[in-house]
Amino acid sequence: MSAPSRRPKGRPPGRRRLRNRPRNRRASDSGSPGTLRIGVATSDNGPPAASGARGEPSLAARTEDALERAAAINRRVQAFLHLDREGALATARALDRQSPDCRGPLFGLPVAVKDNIAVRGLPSTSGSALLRDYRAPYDATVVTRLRQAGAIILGTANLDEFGMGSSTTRGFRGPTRNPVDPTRITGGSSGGPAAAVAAGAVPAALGTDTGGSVRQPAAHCGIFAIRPTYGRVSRYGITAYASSFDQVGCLATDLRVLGHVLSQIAGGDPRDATSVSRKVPDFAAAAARPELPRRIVTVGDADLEVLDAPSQRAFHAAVGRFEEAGCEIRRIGLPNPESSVAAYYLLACAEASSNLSRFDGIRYGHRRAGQESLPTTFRESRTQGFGTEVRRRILLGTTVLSRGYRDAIYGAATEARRQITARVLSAFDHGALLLLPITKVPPRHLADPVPATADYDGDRFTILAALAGVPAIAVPAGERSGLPFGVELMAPPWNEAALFSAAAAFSAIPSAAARRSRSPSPGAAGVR
Amino acid sequence: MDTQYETVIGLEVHVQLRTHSKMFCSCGADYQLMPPNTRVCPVCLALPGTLPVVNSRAVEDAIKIGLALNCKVAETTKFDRKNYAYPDLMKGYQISQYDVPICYDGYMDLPGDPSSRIGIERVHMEEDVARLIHIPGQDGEAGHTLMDVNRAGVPLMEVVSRPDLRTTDQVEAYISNLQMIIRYIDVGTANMEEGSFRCDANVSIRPAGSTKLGAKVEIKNMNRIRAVTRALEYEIARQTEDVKAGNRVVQETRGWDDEVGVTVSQRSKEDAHDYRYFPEPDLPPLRIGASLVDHIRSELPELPALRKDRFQQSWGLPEYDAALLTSSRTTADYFEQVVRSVGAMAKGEMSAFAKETANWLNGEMARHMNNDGTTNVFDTRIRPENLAVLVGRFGRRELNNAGAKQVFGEMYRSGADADDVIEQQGLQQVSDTSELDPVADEVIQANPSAVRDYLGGKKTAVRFLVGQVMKATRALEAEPLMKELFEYRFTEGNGLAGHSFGNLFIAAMSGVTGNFEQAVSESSRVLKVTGRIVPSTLWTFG
Repeated sequence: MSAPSRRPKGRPPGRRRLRNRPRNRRASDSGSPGTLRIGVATSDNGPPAASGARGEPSLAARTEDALERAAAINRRVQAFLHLDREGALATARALDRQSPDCRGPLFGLPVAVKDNIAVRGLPSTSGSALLRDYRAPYDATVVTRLRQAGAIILGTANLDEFGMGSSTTRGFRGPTRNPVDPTRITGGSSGGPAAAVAAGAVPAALGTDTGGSVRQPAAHCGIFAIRPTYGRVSRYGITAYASSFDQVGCLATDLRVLGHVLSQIAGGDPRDATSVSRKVPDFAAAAARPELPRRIVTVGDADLEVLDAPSQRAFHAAVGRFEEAGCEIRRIGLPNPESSVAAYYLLACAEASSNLSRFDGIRYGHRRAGQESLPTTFRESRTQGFGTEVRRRILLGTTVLSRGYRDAIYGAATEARRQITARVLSAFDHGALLLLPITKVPPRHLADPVPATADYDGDRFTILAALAGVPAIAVPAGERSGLPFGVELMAPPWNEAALFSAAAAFSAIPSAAARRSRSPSPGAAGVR
Repeated sequence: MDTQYETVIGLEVHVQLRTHSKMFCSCGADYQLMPPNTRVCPVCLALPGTLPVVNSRAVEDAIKIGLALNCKVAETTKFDRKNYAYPDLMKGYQISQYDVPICYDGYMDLPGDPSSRIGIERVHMEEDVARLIHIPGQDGEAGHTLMDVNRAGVPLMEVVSRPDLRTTDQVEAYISNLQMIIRYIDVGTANMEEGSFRCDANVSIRPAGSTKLGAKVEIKNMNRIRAVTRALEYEIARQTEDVKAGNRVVQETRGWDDEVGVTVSQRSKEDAHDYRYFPEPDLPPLRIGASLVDHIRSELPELPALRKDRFQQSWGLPEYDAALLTSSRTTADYFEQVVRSVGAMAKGEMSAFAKETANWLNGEMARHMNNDGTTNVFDTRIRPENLAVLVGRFGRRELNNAGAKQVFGEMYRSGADADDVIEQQGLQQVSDTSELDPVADEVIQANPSAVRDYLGGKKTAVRFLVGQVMKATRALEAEPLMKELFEYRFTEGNGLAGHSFGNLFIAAMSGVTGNFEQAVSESSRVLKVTGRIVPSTLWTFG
């Protein structure tokens, strides 16, 4: 079967998304600065005004619709693990009663949150059978901030177990399918949030990005996603995978919505000692100010050889768009390609082996039945509760930290990380942004078996931002092989605003293909 | 101990801090008397997604401990994860410090042993674990275990000594001095039995004169100072025997069984945990500013050893009294307030007053506090300046010992002024001899042969008579004065018969002291007589 025939409406969904964007942008433009007036009805009803005014349907009614739509989408792609009908409606009703003066910047915005982000009272499984029955008794800081800004949490979204994967096939409830082509993976590990956004269930979602987990599925699903600077967003309430890499990321179809959401969840948090208290810019405003960097630093052909031919062409086209728009293009060698994937996985797994040791079956989570010895209870509860990939990474990480290996392996990986960070940071000289591919190949078919280490190597571009702790944004950049293609832009720490402006500018540059076809649609011309 | 071998001991002490909140969350750290699992939150329960935040007070307390132990304070320190699995460890790892402890390279001079300086290798911060209560099964049924998470996350400071201790006496001195310092700088209760001060010991032996360390054995599970010394004595003997028998001591961990009085092997070196330490990624390194350290140093109280020296020098207190007073910071503070509340005095007078104050604090005050469980002398109802009044009047012999104790008891009970109590209870000192007379008369009448012997020149008979008077009046401390008294009597050569015994004493005392008024007072003091007490003592007489 050819890929296009699997697409829902026989039309490239990337294009469908792009057609939505101008409308969204108008919606954003009509609001006062800092106010998002996207509301529930991004695809059908246009921008919502104050609910209840002028006879418009209440947020509660529109949330009902949104829940229904999400449920329908879910039957097709399993983006959500849990739809919180009751909670979402209660929030919507409370917002309906709110005086218009008190409305938060995300008033009425339905969002999905990845299931490793604690939402009080909801199942918080991290995609693991071990936590099948665990419900979070508290809200993650990002969830608290979403609520304060007036967002409506529609439900929790699917992921690879504990975020360990690049496919969203490794959760205990099974895979999320790519809305563009449901026979294919979404990428991961934030595949649920990406699919929920790409399929139109929600305009925005929160994911987590350890080594590329929001950017990679965003690229595969044709949407925007940002991994902020490490420390920009609180990790409190995020089930830890690899603490020194984990960051909350946002996904959205519209760049300004993405900016609004990030601005709301960002900022120091006294509950997270690694979060940093510094002024949070208005990222939506940055998205509304398209601006290309003077210089784009990217990699040369040698480093692109790992991409399949259509992906290489798509990447070259993206570089070409920057160049034609006047950016100076400079090519460097990919920082430490021989050691970066190893360093990343060794360090991430080392941290994971420790982070996941709290899941021992004693206080919560799955416990092996029967009254065996303590070591047996520990071992069997974990063996039964964890999936194969999680067990593999725990074992790898435990070995890395073991006596006799720690200095040689963990020490060497730490040193490699230091060098990579230095090289990544040096790429930003002279106000440059770093442009990289996100994936080597299009999203694979769900049925294709893939050895784990192939997935590991697939992260070779996205892990650089994670290793260096710098922000990176995934930007849709057309198609290849009939499937969405995305690139990422990386900026120096704390300069997410530059990423938003650059992504907006890039999205506004017509691609060569679009110019050739001289698209008659004024709406699309702006973006293609 | 065998002099052929030298014992080498190092101690690892865990000191629980008495901070408001836990080490890494805002739960109260006051778990001791709380119902189980009432001091818990998602963080100390290690629910998914929770993160630690460092309690800055605990960091300051750690610096305090380090400075009190003459340590250097790291400019930058960090936390590490110590990974091991046990149900009392909520996260599956303990946040501790591995290679960059907050304080390092200090020392402690053992009190009363100026030659021995014990090196302090490090002081580091970590967190306590939950309490597990094992309930044994009955009638062949499996037992179960209850978990109380209140203690999980309470700040713990580990103080590691260098292997500089050589004897169990030194170990005892080290531990009690460390406890005293912890209490002094007010960071913990340092109570071994309640578990806020826990001690593990590393012990090895080596041929005397050798500088190489032998295979060390770590001993755990010692819950009292006495258990520490017993366990070490046992272990030293065991290792010495082993070596003498030509065996090698095995490096291992052994547990002390207090009931049986033996150490029992727990795990060998090969089975030792691999804790897989690595830097705690949830906590950025801590930079400790010099100004913070300076501030803490300036706020540090005078430590007990120095204070003891000062008490000896300033007030001429005997070392024993000074050490006892300064073993508690509050008692020492109280003492200083008492002696400072009286006006200027001649040096000798002040020194006598200070000694008397020390007697009262270390004696009656300690006894009363011990009876009702008061630990801070400032929590009693007696204000320092009020105690000064009592001590002053007692020192001027306006009260005798028993009367003063009675006054003290009333002050302790009601918080009343010393002067008021003395007046209300009519406890002023007897100032004439009339009430002594019955005692003297009875002694003389009951012991005619002794009187005859004495008059016949038999000195020892006087001792007997004096002893009888002392017994009747419960006088305990007058032996040398009595002797002086009767030596005077001999030089006078007057007969005893016909004199009241009391008058005899007073006459004698006037001769000794050259002052009638003082003689009356001295006699009463020597004989410990008061108007109220004397008659009752007759019951014991004859």
